[in-house]
Amino acid sequence: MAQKTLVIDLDRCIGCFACEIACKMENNIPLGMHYNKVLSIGPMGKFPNIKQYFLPSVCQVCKDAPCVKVCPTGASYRTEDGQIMIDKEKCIGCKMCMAACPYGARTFNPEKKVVEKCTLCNHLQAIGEKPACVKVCCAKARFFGDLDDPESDVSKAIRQAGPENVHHLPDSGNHPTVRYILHKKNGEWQDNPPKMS
Amino acid sequence: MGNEWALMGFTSLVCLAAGIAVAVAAGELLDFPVAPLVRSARASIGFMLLGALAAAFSLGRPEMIFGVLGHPGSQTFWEVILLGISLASLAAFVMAHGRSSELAVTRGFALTAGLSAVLLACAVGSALVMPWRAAWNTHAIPMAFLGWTFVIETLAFKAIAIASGRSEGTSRRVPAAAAIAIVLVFAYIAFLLSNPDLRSDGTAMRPLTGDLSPVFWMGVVLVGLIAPVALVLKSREDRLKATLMAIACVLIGTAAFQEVVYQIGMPTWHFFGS
Repeated sequence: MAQKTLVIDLDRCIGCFACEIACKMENNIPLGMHYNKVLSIGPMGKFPNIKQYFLPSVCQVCKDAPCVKVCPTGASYRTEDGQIMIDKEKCIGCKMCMAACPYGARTFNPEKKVVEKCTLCNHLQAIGEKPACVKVCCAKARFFGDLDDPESDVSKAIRQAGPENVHHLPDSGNHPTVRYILHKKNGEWQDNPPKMS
Repeated sequence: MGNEWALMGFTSLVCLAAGIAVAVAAGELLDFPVAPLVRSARASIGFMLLGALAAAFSLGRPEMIFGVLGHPGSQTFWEVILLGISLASLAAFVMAHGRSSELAVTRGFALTAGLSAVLLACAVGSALVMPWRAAWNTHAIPMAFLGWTFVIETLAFKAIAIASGRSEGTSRRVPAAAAIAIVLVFAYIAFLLSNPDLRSDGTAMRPLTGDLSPVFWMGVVLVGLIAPVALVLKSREDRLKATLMAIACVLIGTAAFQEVVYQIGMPTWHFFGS
């Protein structure tokens, strides 16, 4: 079974915010809303040995997605290739999925009165293109593909990085599939990140 | 998130309505006079509808709520069903008395209303039970809301008994109910403290000494549980008024507890704000 997801190389990410802007433009996201947001982690350590990295945050495409479980109308669902989508025709805007998401990765659109999130640009996937954030990344830090395909961009990136340098956000039984590559020389992966709003 | 006020209102009003419904059932079984029972049943219907309205306000598109009925696996489905059964049973109870129906009929409706209302309170409390969220991974949450419902039931029963002229001995149950509710509320706190991750990141101490401590100690403990007992035991004159004030205090306590639980469980990572 396929599992489409993102791999983000934090060693390469320079925090230029191009992915954030491209996402907003591609998906016509209103002001104040995000599907993809670049967070700054750090600085860590003592001067002059300071480290910092940028963490592009997005829906973590969980294998056991809590948002799908709590949705009262079935608006949030998992596709055959593992992506988590929202059927806006069914969404009643109860925001239970927003409460359920361990990462706060969803956002409520006050104009459309529904919850929205990253769709991995499925409208671009339908015409054979990659998500906007992947295409626009000037540092080539973002990869998109099928984790279950050993020849996909994501699988190759993970293999090349080595298991000790591949991380994921805290897993509380939801099994996030998005992977972050970070070598120790560039920063300490935060297993318990600080609260951000 | 922005809709926590509406959810606070929904949860606390459901617990209030459920407590009154159970008190009505108890009064019906004990052959209390009809008038106060019917008035109380109407009050329970009113509070339930008010709660439903509060829930509707939390929705982005309330006009599509009936889409929930096509999804029996969700918690909301059972909330809608049990709300419907409770309202229907209470309305039938009122109408049955209006038509001077037989005791078996009115008792049947009263018991159905009481049972479904308690299950509704349990379902509403269970909506926040989420295994993937450390602070919400416990059934102590719905148990605590059942505790609140129990306190309201004892106070509502006392109020009905006062109105029926049969209030002898009803004050004794109130401190016991409040004690049970305190135990259940602190059972949730104990759950938080027993989790090493919640202890290490400070979440467990938020209601006791952290940013949620004013809401917890003032709203939940003082106003929600201690004040009602003090009002009921201290008053001599106007006992009905004191009892109704005590019910209002418990309602505030329930809403405060819902807020504490909700805020504790919000994700550590909150990428995009509320």
